[in-house]
Amino acid sequence: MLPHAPGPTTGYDWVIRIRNQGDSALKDLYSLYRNECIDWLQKHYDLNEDNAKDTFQVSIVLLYENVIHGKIDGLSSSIKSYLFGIAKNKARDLIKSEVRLSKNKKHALIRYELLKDAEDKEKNEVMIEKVRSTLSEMTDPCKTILELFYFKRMKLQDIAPVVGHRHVNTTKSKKHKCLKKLQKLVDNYKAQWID
Amino acid sequence: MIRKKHTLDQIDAFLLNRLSASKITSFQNELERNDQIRTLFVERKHLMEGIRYHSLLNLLDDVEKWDTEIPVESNPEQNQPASNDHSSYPDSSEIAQKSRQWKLLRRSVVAGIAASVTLIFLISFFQANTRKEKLVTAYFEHYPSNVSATRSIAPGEYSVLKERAYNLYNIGEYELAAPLLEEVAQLENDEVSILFAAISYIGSGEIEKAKSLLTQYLSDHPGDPIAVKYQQMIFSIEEQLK
Repeated sequence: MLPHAPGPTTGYDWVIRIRNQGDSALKDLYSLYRNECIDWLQKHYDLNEDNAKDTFQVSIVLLYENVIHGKIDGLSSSIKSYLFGIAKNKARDLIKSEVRLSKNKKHALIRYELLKDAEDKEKNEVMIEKVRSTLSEMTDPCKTILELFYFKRMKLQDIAPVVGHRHVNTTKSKKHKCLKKLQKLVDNYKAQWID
Repeated sequence: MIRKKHTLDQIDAFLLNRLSASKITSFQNELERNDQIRTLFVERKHLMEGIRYHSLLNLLDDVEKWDTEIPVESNPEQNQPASNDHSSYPDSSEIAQKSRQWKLLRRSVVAGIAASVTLIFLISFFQANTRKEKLVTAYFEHYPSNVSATRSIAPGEYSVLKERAYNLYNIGEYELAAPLLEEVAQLENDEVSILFAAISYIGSGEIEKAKSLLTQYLSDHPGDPIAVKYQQMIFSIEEQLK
């Protein structure tokens, strides 16, 4: 029997590991490059330590999202180059007024990323904030099903055992009900907002 | 009802990149034609973006906790992640040991060949690049910036960016200054910054970018002596490199 492969060495190894092991792999990556990236951001982008740390943390989160959405499946560079590349872009986003003037820069950086291609930024910002706060107040299994399906892009048959359903159809119908409920709450808010 | 459910499933599949190429085209056509589907699509997209926002912030909360929980390595280059711990390999198996040695030997040979090829490539690349850099350095002179990089543009939001860009330019950090100056030019519609971005690109050896910006600047300011001077400098460098 061949020995186990050593830990991830190439960018692609990391992508596979993060996809399979999730948080624990991401935590390793965080620990591995935290200091170096924060120093680098301070030195090259004239950021103070807090802003550099915020930028690094947001970069880790966005890297994770790109991995699970399959955006970097063919990554040929090292994970370090990719991570520092995200951090560089986020450091530049920090200069933008909608981020710079915001109280919570980390949240603002993520919002900026989500809304960068939106046509009506203001309206979209209000909507996603409303959906976020409504979802936070929802209970399980709705919250988990929606997160796993829409964010982690898991298939319903893989979500079913996670939320304790025996049949995938139960999960499917639950997902529809949860979305309907979420949509209704958001619509109620929208009606008040327009009035 | 069933029809609506089916449409929503299709919208989900489209937004989650689960449709085949042919189905994407037919869905996009339907989206263009049918107002009702378009409304459902926009609503579902908002929900998805909101769920995405919620999930990203949740993950961010976890990441913030890690910062206090995990021992942060002082030198990441020398410290590998926990899973790189080779002591987890089975030592008792002689076959595994031999297999590992063979694998290492094979990797060393491949790495040796790859390193030699890379070295040859790098030497030739750096020779060409050094020549270019030397020529740029020989000809390049820092054009003094008399641009007022103060906060005078208030209530605009980009004066801080402009200040930072010109500060970097003034201290000779051209590589960092160039993209910021380009951004200033774009955000503040400031044509002078296009010229300084071009000069910075020359200073950092990125001649192609400099050329394109100088052409852009000269099309609005034909015959501008500073731009012409730097453009001639580039032509002269290119002539020498031929």
